[in-house]
Amino acid sequence: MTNYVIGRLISALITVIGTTFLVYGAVRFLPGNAVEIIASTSTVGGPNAYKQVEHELGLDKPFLIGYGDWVKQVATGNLGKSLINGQSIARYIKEGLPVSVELGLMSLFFGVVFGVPVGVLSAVRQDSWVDFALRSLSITLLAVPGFLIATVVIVVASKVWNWNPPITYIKFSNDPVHNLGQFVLPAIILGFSSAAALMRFTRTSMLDVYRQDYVRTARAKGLSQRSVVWTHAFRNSLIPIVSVIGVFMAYIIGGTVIFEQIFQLPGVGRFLLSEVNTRDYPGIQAIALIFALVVVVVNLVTDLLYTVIDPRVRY
Amino acid sequence: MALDTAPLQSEPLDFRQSAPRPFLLRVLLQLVRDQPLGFWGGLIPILLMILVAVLAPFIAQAPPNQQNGDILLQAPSLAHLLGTDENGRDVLSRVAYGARVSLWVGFASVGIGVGIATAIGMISGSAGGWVDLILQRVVDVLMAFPSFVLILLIAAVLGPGERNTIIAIAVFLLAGPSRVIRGQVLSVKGNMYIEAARVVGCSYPRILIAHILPNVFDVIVVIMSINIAFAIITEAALSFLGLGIPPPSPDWGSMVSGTETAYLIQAPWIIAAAGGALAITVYAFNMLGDALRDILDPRLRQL
Amino acid sequence: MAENYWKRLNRRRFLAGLGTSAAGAAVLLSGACGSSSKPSSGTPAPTSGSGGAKANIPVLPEISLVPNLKNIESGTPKQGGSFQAVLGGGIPDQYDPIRDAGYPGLEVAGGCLSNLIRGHYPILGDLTIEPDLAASWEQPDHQTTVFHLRPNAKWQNVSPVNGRALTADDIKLNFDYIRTAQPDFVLGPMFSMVDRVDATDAHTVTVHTSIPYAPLLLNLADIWAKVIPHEQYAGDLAKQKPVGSGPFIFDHFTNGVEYVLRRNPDYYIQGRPYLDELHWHVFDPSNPNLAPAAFKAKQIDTGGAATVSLAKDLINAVPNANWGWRYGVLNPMMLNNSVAPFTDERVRQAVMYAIDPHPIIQITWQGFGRQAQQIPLWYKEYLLPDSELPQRDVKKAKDLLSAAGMSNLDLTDKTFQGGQLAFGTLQVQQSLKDAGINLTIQQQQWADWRVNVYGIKGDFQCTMGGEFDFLSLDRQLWNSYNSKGAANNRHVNDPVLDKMLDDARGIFDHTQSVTAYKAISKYITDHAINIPLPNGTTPIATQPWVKGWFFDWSAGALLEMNRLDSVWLESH
Repeated sequence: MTNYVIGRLISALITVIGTTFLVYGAVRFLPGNAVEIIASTSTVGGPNAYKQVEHELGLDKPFLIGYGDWVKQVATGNLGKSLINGQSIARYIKEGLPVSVELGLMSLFFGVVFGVPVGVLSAVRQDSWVDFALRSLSITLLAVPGFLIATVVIVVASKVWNWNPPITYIKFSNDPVHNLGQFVLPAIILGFSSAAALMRFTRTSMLDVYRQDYVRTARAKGLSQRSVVWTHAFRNSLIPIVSVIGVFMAYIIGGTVIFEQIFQLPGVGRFLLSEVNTRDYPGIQAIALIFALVVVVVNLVTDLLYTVIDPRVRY
Repeated sequence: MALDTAPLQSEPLDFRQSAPRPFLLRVLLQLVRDQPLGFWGGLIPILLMILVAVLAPFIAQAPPNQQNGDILLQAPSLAHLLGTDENGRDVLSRVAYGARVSLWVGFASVGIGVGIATAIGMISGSAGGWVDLILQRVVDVLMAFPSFVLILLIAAVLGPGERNTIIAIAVFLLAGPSRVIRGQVLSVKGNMYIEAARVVGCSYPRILIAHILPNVFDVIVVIMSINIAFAIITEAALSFLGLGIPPPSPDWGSMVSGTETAYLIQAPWIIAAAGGALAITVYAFNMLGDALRDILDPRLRQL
Repeated sequence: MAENYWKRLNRRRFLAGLGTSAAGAAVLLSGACGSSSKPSSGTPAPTSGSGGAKANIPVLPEISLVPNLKNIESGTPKQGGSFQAVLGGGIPDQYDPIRDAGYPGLEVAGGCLSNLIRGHYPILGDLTIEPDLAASWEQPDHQTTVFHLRPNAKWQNVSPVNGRALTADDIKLNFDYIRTAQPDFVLGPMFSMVDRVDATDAHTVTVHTSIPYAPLLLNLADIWAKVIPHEQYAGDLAKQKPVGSGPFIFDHFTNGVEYVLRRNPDYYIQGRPYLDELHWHVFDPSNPNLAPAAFKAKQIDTGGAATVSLAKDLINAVPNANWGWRYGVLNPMMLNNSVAPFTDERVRQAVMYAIDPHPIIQITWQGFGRQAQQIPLWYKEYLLPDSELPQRDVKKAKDLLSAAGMSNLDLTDKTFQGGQLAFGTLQVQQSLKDAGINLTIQQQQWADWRVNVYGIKGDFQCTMGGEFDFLSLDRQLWNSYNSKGAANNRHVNDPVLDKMLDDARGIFDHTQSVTAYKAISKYITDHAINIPLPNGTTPIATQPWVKGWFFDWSAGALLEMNRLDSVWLESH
């Protein structure tokens, strides 16, 4: 077991190092006029702007040295300064993370709360009209983009009730009720529209497990339907479901980018978009790295969770 | 690998697996017969949409970018079956030409991305050793980024445009599918006939292409169909954010963007048409993907 | 040359951020005399709201709106309240309007910084110049202006100025700063003729120009001509918060989200400002629904409408809102006069005659637009009569092209993201086809465009954009068309025009000034140096409880940012 854990940790570490390479390298190979453009927009100004920007991006040193410097800098928590306005990027990310995490977790919550039971129900009532209806619903949710649902909801709500989502971020520490109220709508829409995949996956997973011998045995033994479904079938279908939640999280993280923009939430995703629009490469680098780290950690956690859920997994 | 001395399996060794077969026909017949949802809800709408895209010049009642100040925001009528938008452009025309864009981006990005992923997966799976190790670490790195974030970043670096959108999505698709294909190759690798082919003296590339690829093919088809839906939605999301296909090109994503939703109340047909087309296409590809998966290999349900 | 200048230029973004972009109607300014280039002496009393609903205010074709602006002046000002506004034009990157501040930077900084003198141009009134830091001023001759500062003027009580008195020395230093010969000091050319500034005593400043310079006062009343503490001149622009002598103190911000200013208790006008807080929000510019929706939900105090239908919707939803609109920012098709094919005047003229303004008005401005001229439409006296403006003539365009040796022409229009949807670009493309001119639209990212098209590089043939309108025609035209202008992105190098512009600066007589500028306008038009495209307008609204002030696209755009000390809120 420890070997497995250590193995996964090392693997995760290698992945992290790889992502730093990729993230650093992507900026490294920017075309020349991109640097020119940054130089013209940066507040550094003056005739030495180009050189200054090159220096800030580490482009005046050989690749490995520049890479090393950057990694060292990042490891100490200095994520660099925005080339556009000189602000500390780490500060933005620090301020934005709670927002994105809250949106992500709440969306995950709604997605799971909606997707999993519906998937189970759909599986248990396979090929009945309930199944068809639920499957159609889930496919519809998958087919209509979440951002479209969100914008339509907002426009209609504004027209009918003169309502608009709050335009300023209400901190949880200041006002928990209103904070939750602010996040509920985007979380529900994002969660539900992502839940479709989860729903279908739960269904297939349950169906597979359902056909297994041990389920038939449980039935034959006379156990109640509830016991069969939840104690036996569900628990075993959890393994693939847990793995999908990991992927699901990645999907939600992507969704937060758009949803933060639509709902005016000052999270990391919205920050990423503004960095992308202004081509503020230090910011783009930093956020990309953070996102990748989050995904690696989430995957690591789910992999380790396997060892808990599935006693067969012992490497 | 040592010869398998285990007791005979319940199924006889099937050498037919390595021979070419009329794949498309077989699949099509099975679709019609066993998978009504996949056929009527999947393949047929897709074919219709492709038809719409191809026949766009004939379906359209006006060129998609032609503006006409006299007919702004008109409700659907005989002259304009899906109405007009805020620039007086015919919505039906834009939806039809938009089908070209979306389908092209979908097919191209998936074709390229999954194509290269197949190569990676096959090489990785069959070569093993260092090659496998290194390739899989690279794939790990690519997979460490949330899908949309990675695509957003690539699109940001490359800039807007159809070609860049295709590249961005294709790069993302290099990763996940290669994993699955590698897994498939690994499981096929163990089969006896591969061993037999090697003993007989088949060259490595020949084994790859003639023996392994046909067995991996099923997986590839399913992955492709599922990911086309993903590609189409992602392209729409990029255009929604202003990073995908620039205006005035008719494309479903920008037709449902923030600037268009300003007209939602007084001209709902614009968003209904583009959003509907988008939803139908994505729905259809998902249904087809599901059905193909059911036909080609029930064991593939884990996908 | 002008790269940073154009950072300010993204009108479409600005308007989109406010929830307005391409629509609205025109209300030509009422008021008999456009006093726009008359220097005034003494302290003119502010003339506000002269007259109510004037007979010559055209009515919007589809919406019958009467500006409700008289309501704004009624009632007794109350202290207190927090004002919620939307920042247009993007995210502020820094706050020094002299060195370089984009629109958003200026909107935020406007409440913190003071002018020497400030302008006021109410929708229902005339332009006047009011005291700000200077309580009074006189011009003993055409080259000398003496300003008398308020004795109680002081800087805000924050670092680095810590509440010290604002004296003539500060003004002198500020002038020196403005006149620093840096290429990105856009105001520089407007004051390069100032050769001496003397602080004759603690509260008196004498400004001397090397030539008789008529637009001096108007340019000093310009929104950009702010007074900044000398402690900030050399600093890192990005790190400096706006510090000045204005009615509000910069308090805190979350970059890209909100910028909050609080009341300055030491403001030199007693009893002002009325507001406790000024709260700027950043809205996603690609979502024009957001600002109207927030306005309807009473989350913001000032807003507007992106489209006619949104305007109608807002009017119905908030019946007592104060509405106002007038033609603002110019929308030219800018030609690069120094590259082929536009070095040949005939080709420029061909393009001019080929363009059909009618669809632009119909589609981009949704009917609320007007054919434009080289100068903003509110300069009523300076406008050329319709008979002197070019009318569309496709045959003439074709003839001109053949005379220049071409049967058809391929042009590339480089525009920034989203730019092709604004300014009438698509309609221009369509109408040019009729004359055999093939316009390809090339989209670039905003920063690319700014550097390559508007920067010194000038790597473009034509582009469309918005241009601010300024208080003085000198700033408007000299900076853009003089070969030494700081905003000469059309790369014009015409000695005849140069001389006309230089000469016009010295004309103090009003009638002669009008004649001179009309001649310049006609020259630019006849030689197609610049092609104006129809102006649209932007209906702006404030909530019924916003008093004493109206956010308006007045001359010098954002002029009303100079007067945030007069806003007060009724309880609601």
